[in-house]
Amino acid sequence: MKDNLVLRENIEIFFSEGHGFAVYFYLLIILAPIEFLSLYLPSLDAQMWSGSASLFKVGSVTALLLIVYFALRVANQEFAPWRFLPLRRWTRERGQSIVTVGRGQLAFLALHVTCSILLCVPLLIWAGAIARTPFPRVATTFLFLLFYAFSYSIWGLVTLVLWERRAESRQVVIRCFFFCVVFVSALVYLPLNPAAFLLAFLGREELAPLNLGGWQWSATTVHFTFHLALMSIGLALHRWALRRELLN
Amino acid sequence: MSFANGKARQHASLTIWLHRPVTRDSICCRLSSRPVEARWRRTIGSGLCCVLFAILFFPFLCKAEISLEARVGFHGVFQLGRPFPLGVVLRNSGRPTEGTLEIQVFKSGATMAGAPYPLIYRRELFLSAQSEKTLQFTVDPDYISRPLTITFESPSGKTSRELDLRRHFTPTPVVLLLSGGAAASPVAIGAASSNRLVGLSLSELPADPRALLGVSHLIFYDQSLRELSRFQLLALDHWITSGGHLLIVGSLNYALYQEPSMSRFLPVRVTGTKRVNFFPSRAEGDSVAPIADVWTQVSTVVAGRVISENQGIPVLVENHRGKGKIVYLAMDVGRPPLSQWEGLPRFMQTLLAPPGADDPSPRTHWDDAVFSQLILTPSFVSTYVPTVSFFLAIVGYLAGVGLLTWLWQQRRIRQMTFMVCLIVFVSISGLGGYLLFSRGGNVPDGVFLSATVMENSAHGYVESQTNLVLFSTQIRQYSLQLERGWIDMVPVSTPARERPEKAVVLQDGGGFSRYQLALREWDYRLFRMRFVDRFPLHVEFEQQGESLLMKLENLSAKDLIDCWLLVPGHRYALGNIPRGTSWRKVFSLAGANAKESGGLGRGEGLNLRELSFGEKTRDILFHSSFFPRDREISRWSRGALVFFGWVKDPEPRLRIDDPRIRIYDYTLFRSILPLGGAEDE
Repeated sequence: MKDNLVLRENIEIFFSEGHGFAVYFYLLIILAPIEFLSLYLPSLDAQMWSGSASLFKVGSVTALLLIVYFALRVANQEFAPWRFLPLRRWTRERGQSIVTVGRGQLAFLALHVTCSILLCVPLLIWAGAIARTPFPRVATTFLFLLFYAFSYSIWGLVTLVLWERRAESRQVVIRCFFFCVVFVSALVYLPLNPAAFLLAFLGREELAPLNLGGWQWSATTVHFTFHLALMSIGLALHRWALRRELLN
Repeated sequence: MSFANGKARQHASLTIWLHRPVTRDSICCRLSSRPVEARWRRTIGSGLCCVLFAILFFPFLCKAEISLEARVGFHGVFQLGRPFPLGVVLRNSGRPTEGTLEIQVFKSGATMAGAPYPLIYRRELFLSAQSEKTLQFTVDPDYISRPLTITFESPSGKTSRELDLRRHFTPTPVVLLLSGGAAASPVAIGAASSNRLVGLSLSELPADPRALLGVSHLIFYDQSLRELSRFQLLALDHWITSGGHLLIVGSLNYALYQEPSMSRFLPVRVTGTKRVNFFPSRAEGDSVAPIADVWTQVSTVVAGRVISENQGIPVLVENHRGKGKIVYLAMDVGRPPLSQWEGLPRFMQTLLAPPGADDPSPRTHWDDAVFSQLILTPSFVSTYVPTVSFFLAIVGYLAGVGLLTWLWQQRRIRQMTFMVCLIVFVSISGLGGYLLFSRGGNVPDGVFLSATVMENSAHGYVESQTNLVLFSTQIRQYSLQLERGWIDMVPVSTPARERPEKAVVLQDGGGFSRYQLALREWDYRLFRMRFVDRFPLHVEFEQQGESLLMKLENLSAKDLIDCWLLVPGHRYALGNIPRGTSWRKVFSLAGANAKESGGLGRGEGLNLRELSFGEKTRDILFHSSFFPRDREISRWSRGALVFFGWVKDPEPRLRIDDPRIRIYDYTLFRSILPLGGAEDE
């Protein structure tokens, strides 16, 4: 993977040239004040301990939304887009196979998601300690963040490959997708929503099962099936779009 | 060894069987001589092995077969709204099994302005093979429109049964009669009585005082109490002190009344019997003609008050014990001539008259509003909100990440060094912050506060109202162990809650009851509890014109601190009253010295607002819970004498043996004597 040119290009642009630091800056500069204010503002009220009580929930949901949102944008090459080589040049001029390009993109996405979560780790761990959230729950929350970030951000790669030369269209699609994930999924069936599911998990609440045609599925099953399906479809579409790009 | 013919072989083999040691040859001989028998043996042996194998490795092939039977109340009767006994008979017609028996009832609900929640009575038990076991519970549903559910769950299966309680209740308390196993009821109370008379055998008497709370009177007639268990005796004792009425009717068999177990209840010492003439009063019977030769027990009074006597023999004696009463009737009403007397039912009804509604002690106030005040006090729970340290930690972390990135961007450190430094910095920050914030402030897992008001009752007993709150900072299970003697304990309904309350489990075992409940993080639950206990602190008031004589004798094992006496227009600080203290003091009831004593004008009645005890929690409990403003205390606006003091190191009525839970216990003793009667509300 070290020799993957696509990955090296991404790392060079993002980290060596520093174009990607803005993402991590935004991530931390939004998450940190939200956490602080969610602790500080209730302390001005009579029930001052209620801020501590919900600190980890607030922090983890904020982190989830931010990580997913920025991962989608990073996958969609919204930061320093002029610096990235187009796919056609990778395949035709540089002689990279579709598989190599796809792996490079996925590897960099994984690296970015890992870095995002790594930077959020101290803030979330502190919030968990103040809220007295059991450590296994905190650790599981990080796994959830990783899972959701991959499930959704893969669609950023799909849009990138599908509409590489239409940057504005991609941005609109990505934002619509994020809006649907965050808001519309809650309206359709609440357990599909990642934030609702994460809150239910942290609060040890049972979400309502799904009843369809006399069959009943537990909320957890539906939730993970939906997200695994979303991720699988995203991966399949990404590969299909890369092949299509090669044929064109 | 060889044999020539069959007969000889048979004979020889028999000889070997009886007299010779078994050898391989001899076995061969036997097998060959009895092939059918050997085959049978082999078959039976294999069968047994198979059964054993099946039992060991496939237990589901020979499961326990459990059947349930329930016995509601006292022969199917109980008073609505009161706890009642419930006997559950478990029959196992299969293999031995271990399981849990659960009885689920519903508490609270719309009638109590709260969301209904299930209360589960749980007991773990072992049922041996082909056995029957009876378990006694005391259940207390708040309403009976939902069925009571009995479930026995074991590894081999689940057996469940639902009971409709609507067929069993009576709106009035039940009268119980224990009469030495007589088939017909020897004591008639007449059809006019609103109470149901239920005859019980001694073994059917509950061993839990709470099960008797729906009983107004218990009658002993011609009954030996020798077979009464220790727990049954204790339950009776406790039921009486909690307000139960015991009627002991004498009989010809006076020896039964000399047994120690009966003597502990009797206010007299029975020495024999005598035939006397009984002169019923006009109020007791239609006829005023005397009834001759009535069997009457001869006795000497030990305690209590003689209500009536005949020819020097105490006929009717009553003795108060706690909030209850024991009445002893010396005459044998179950034998002629008194059993044939027409006025007997009416006479018995006078003895079984419902207890007069005694002035109920003012209820303490206990709700979310009181708790909101309590949690604000720094001593209740460390309201540790590390805003400053959290802010500094965030700033430090952001600065550190920024600095590392800047160093890398400026090429002052290599890429690998940057990565290692960043990972190390993030790890140290996370771990250090976790240790700092998780241990800072010493936040406990939970806080348990118990606030008790001991209301001075007569004869050295107190009726206690205990308000409890369990506040949790963690999602966890709590187990509260109730000491013996509690009458009821109910969670306070909170209609404002967003989600339904979780089930509360009451588990009995080892002579104790345990409440088990789950709480979420930063959640709380309020309870109310009541019990009657002995606390020999005697306070008497005697009004002597413009002065008040107060007699106080503290025979309890506890010291009282910060004691006060409030009279209309005056307030007297009495300081501490250590155990063993006994004094008489005269206080002025006149309007003089009001300024010195910090008192108020006489017309202002009792005003407790300015009282303070130097501790915020005590102040909140006193002003908001024990004497809530503009509530109960307004009942005595015409005037009342109020004495109170805080009990030092009170005995806990509930225990939580967990060092991670902080426990507070506050107990106030009070005695209130209304002047000129309580004002109607």
